[in-house]
Amino acid sequence: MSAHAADVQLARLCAAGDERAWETFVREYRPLLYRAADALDRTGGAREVADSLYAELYGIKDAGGARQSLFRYYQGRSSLATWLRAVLAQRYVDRVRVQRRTEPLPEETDGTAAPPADPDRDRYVALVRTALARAVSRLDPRDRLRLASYYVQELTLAEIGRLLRESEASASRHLARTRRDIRADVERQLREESRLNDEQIAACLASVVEDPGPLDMKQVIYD
Amino acid sequence: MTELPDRLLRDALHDSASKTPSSMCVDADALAAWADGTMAGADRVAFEIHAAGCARCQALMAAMARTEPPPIEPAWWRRPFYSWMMPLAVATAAIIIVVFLAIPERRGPALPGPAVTETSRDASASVAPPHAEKTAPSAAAPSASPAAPPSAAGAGVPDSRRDRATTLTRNERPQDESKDAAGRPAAKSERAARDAEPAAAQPPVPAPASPLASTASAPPSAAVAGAVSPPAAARETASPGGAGGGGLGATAAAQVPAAGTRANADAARSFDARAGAEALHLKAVAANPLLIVSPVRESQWRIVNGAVEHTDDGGATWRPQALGTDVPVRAGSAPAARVCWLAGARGLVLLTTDAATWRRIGFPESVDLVAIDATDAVHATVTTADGRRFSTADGGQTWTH
Repeated sequence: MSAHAADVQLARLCAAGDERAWETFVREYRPLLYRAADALDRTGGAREVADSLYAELYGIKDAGGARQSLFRYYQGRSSLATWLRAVLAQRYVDRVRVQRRTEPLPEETDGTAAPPADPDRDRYVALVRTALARAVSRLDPRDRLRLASYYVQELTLAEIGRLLRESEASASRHLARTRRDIRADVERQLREESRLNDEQIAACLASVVEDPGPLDMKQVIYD
Repeated sequence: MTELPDRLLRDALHDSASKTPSSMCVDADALAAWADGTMAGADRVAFEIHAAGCARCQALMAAMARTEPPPIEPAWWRRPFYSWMMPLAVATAAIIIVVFLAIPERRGPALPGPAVTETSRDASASVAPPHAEKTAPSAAAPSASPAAPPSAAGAGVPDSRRDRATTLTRNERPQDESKDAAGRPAAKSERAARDAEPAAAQPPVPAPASPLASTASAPPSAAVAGAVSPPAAARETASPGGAGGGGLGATAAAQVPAAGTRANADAARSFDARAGAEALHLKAVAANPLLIVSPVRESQWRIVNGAVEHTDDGGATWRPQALGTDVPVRAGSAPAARVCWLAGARGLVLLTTDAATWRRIGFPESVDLVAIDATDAVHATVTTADGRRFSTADGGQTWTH
C-alpha cells in the first residue's frame, strides 16, 4: 500500500476538490490518459471515452449539488496510472461491445454464392471445425488464454509474456506446443471418432488450408 | 505435416470464449491490480482461468497490454537502485581485485586476467552506459523485444505473422516519451509497483459506501452497459462465493471435501474460499504433490503438476509413468499394490493393474473429475467438478450416476 501512498493522497485531494492537486493531476496524468486512448484506437474513437472519464474524475454534480468524483473509487491497489488505464480500458471495451451488439450484422457472403464444391470437402471442413472446437475446449485455461491473446487479440509475444509473467521465449515455446497439441488432438479425433484413414485425414486438412478471407477483426477482438 | 490455418484456429478460439460477462469478470480496480502485479496469487490464477473462457476479459487484458506506456528510463544515477549500488559496486570490485591479485597461483593462469577486466568493466559500468546494467525484466522487455533474435523468440510460430506483429507494435507505440515530462512520474510509480510485486499482495480494500453499491447483486448485463462502478464490481469479485448466483466459488466449497483425498482437503482448508474451484485445484496440484498410497507401503503413486510418478521402494526413488495422455491428472486411488485408478480433467480416467502400463477408461462426459475412490480393479467412484458422482462396477465399461 505504501508504494502508492502518494497516488492515493493525490486522488483523495482531487476527490475533495483541491485545485492544486487537480492541476498536478492534469499535468502529469492527462497525457498518459490520452496516449492510452490513442493506443486503443488510432482513429481517435477512444478519445471520447477518455474525455468523459476525465469529466467524471473532475466530478459531476449530483442532484444535491455536491460534486462526486470518480477518484473516490481509487484505493491504491495499483498505481494511479495503471488504474486510469484500467478504467479507460473497461469503458472502451464495454462501449465497443455494446456498439457491436446494436450494429446490424454484416451480410453473409460466403457459402451461398460459392459454386457447389466437392461434397466431401464440405464434410471434411465441418469435421475439422468440430474437432478443432473440441480440442480448443480441452486446453488448459492458461494455454487457451495465451493462444487467444495471440490469435484473437493479436498481441505480440512480448506483450503476452508481460501479461502472463513469462519470458517472450517461453511464451513462444508454449504457443508452439499448444498448436502441436491441438493439431494432434484434431488428427486423433478424425481417426478415432470419425473413423477416417490417413488419406482422408490428409484430404481433410488440405481442404481447410484454403483461407476463406479476412474476418472483421474488430468484431473478433471485442465480441 | 499440414498446419491448421491461423484463421481456423482464431475462429475456434473466438467461438470458445463466452460472449456474456459474468460475475467473475474483473472490475477496473482488480484489472489494474492484475496489470501491476499486485493481485494476490490465487486471485490471479482464478482471473486467468476465467479470462481463458471470457471474451470480455480477454479484450480487457489485451487493452491493458496495448496501453502499457513504453518504459521511460530516468537518468541512471537518479535511480535509487544505482545510487546505493555504486559504493557497493566499488567495494566489491576492490575486494575481487585484491582476491585475484593476492592469490593468482591458486587459479589457472588464464583466470586472473579476464576476471580483473570483467570487474573493472563492472565498476566502469556504473559510470558509463546506462544500459549495461540489468533493469527490472518487465521494464526492459519492450525495448529488448525488437532486437531479440527471431529464432529464439518465435520458434514454431509463423514468421511472417510474428514480424508483422512486432512491426505493428513498434509503429503503434507512441514515441513522444522523451519530451513528455508529465508521463514520467506515472511510469516511475508503475515500475516501483512491479518491483514491489511479491511483497505487495494486499487484502482487498473495503470499498466506500456508494449509491451504486446496489448494482453489486445486479445481473451481469449491468457490466455490458459500461455502468459498473469500481467499488460495486469490486465487491462482486470479492465474494463470488457468497453471491448466491453460484459462480465457481460456490461450487468450490461443495466439491473439495468430496474429493476425499487428504492433500486436497488440506489445501482446501488453507485456501480462501472465494477463489474459483479451478484455481483451487491448480493450487492444490501445483503446491504439493498429491500422494496416492496403496495398501502396500512400498508401492505408491504421486501426482506432480498433473503428471504421475510411481515408487516401488516406499518413496526413495520416483519414476515418471507414461500415461499416454497430456491431460492433467487430478486425483487417484490405489486399492492394491499394483492397481491404481487416476482421474483428471475432461473426463480422464486411467487404470493400471500392473503398476506400469496405463489404460484409458471411457467416461461418458468430458467433465473435469476431481476425485476418485476405488475398492479394487473393477469398482470405482469418481466425483465431477460440479459435484456429481459416477460409479462403475465393471472396470469402467459402464458408469452409473
